[in-house]
Amino acid sequence: MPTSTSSLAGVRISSALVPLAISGELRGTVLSAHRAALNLTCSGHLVTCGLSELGALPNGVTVVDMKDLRGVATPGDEVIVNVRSARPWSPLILPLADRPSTEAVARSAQIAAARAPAGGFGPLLCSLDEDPQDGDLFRSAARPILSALLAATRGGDRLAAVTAAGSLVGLGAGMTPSGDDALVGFTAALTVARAELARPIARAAAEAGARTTLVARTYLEHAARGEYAERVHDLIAAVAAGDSTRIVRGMSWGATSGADLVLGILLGARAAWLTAEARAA
Amino acid sequence: MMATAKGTALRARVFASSYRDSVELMRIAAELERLPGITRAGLVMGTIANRAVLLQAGLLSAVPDTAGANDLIAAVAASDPGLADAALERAAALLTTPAVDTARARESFAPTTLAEALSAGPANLALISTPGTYATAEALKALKRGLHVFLFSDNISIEEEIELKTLAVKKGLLLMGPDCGTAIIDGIPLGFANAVARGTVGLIGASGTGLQQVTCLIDRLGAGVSQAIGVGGRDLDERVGGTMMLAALDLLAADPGTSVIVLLSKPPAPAVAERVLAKARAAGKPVVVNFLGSDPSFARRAGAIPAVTLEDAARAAVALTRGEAPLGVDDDDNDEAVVARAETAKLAVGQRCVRGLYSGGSLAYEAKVVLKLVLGDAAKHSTIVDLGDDEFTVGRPHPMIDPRLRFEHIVATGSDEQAAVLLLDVVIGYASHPDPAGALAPAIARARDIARRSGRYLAVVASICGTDRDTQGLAAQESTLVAAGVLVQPSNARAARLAALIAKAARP
Repeated sequence: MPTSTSSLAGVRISSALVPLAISGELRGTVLSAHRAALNLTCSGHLVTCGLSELGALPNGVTVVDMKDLRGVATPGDEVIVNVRSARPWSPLILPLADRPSTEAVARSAQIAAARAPAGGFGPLLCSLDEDPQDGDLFRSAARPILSALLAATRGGDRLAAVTAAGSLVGLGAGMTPSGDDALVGFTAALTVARAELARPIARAAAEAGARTTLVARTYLEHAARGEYAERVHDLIAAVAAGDSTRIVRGMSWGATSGADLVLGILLGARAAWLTAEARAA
Repeated sequence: MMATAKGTALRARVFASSYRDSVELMRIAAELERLPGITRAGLVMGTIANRAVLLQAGLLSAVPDTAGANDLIAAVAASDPGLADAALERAAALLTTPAVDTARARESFAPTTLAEALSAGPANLALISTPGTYATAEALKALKRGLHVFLFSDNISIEEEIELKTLAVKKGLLLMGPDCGTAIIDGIPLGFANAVARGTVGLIGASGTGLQQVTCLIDRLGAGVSQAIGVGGRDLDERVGGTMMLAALDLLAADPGTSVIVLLSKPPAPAVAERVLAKARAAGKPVVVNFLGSDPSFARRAGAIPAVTLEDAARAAVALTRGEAPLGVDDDDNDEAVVARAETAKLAVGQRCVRGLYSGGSLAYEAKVVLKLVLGDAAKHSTIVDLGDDEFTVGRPHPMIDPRLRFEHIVATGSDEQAAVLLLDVVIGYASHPDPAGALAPAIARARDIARRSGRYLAVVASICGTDRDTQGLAAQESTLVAAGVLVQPSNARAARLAALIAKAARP
């Protein structure tokens, strides 16, 4: 039994959620409450009600801004979100119109390396070829897997690529483990380049979703359908253009999630965006 | 950060369906590792991949099989089972006490609006620390009510800064900031400041840690501070025009409790510098000027006393309060050269760079100036990073409050084959971490160990910005650093100089 029921008004809704909200409202139980987001379970789905600062989420409703959502409800409470006036937003990511230039991608990699955070997979933005030797077991475990994922994707080795992707799922300390954030970025970069292995890798990661947290699993499941958060759309465009302001802003997302996403996008770019000659260079 | 455990007692606890971000989990793990007898702590979501990492860290055997991917696992290794249990109790307390509760508890004893605060009693200064979006409106309200403003908030546009300062001048008030880190007004510290003696040196600074460094050195030299007025880092920008430094100069010139004035800033716009120095000449009191990296002859021509470093500024000011000649620091310090030679001799071929990892922006800037003076063009091989800069602090605490960000950068320096010297600042005082030296010492030891295992030696040089009256204690902090093998220098400028001398004679 819910301890109390609260109401929220949605202003933007992911089109992936529209089938759940045909009555004009979403009704769910609070799983976790954060300052800028409430995670609800609605008919077996994880739905995130977020403030506008989060941007649109593939599993999300952006609600009317307020100071702190933790004042609205706590875990176990029921929440009703009125989405009658909410604008639908499509999380589907579209292919890039033009192949990004080698220079722009190289510039993006330099920007990301210069702003790499010390936590999560951040230090791997500086070099994937050398172990940072900082004693962090997450990064030590991730580095060879990421290298294998990159090599297998470049080489078209489907089995090795999906195996590596599965090994990354759930690797990392927090609410969305770094391995999952990197996979979301990687599959997004492959998807926008229409890479052959984009869907197999995304599907393998989603199928391994039981091995990670519910929030990360939800993102992986959306990724397998080509659906990504607005910040992923924005970061893809920023990395393709070598846009330092937007890359730095995107990297500040969450504790380390933004940087982990960028790592995945840059690896995806190395695997699928550049020509064979550029990769060789 | 999770490394391999070496402990005799392993304990773990599972917190079902508990979601925390990784930085918070790392902060709690770091706090547990500081507890007595705890050799390793890890807090991770119970995913299969994370269980493999716990296994590698030697922590998995205590974790129940029932923990799932949505459960949070806290695992510790300790020298004693009782200490391990106590650490898990601490973890539980930290995880079950959401930050919001603490904030709400505080709020229940605090006014929530300016009007409420003023109804509690007379006040003449408002300290504003809200997100930048709201700060300008709050500052305007305070100024309109006749209050001086200490504006700690950042992310305020330069246009808004000009508007606020114009109103403050019109009303004869101070607008300290925005992004003002430090002030001491009538002996009351605001923001990051130190416990220093009262005295007759009045300071105006567009530089937070610059003010901290000079006030601390004045205290250590046996003198004291009348007022230390922060004006915000952009005050001497051409568009702001030094509005608040000029206003503060008027106040200190008229203040009977101030006998010597010190001005601190990074290089100002030339036209603004000219205006400020003209006002300084008219102050009727000796004025010491440290515009870091600027040509000192400019200040001298304007009748002020130029100081190349923050230490020079403190020494000159103290000498002037005693009616003595304002002499600079002796650069031909023989002991310093001997220490530098001994350190250089331990370096391997190729180690020739200084790696500065700073928490104070002005201290980092001063280190760059000193490195350039000592090393000339070769300074380009060295790097001085201000980890308190916005680009490193988005979404996380400032390194003066939380040393973990610097911890990882320090450890990474151990793998840097070109690094000859690790150069650090340790800032203590109000609002700073309760034991920064204690928090950094394990990272320093780890970095040196990594270097040693690769056949290299890593010299570590630091200075402590603080006084013995600060709660962290200058002497106690110094002892901790010395025990970690750090060469502790009495000022940031001297630390940077020693680091540069060590690198200068190194074999390329």
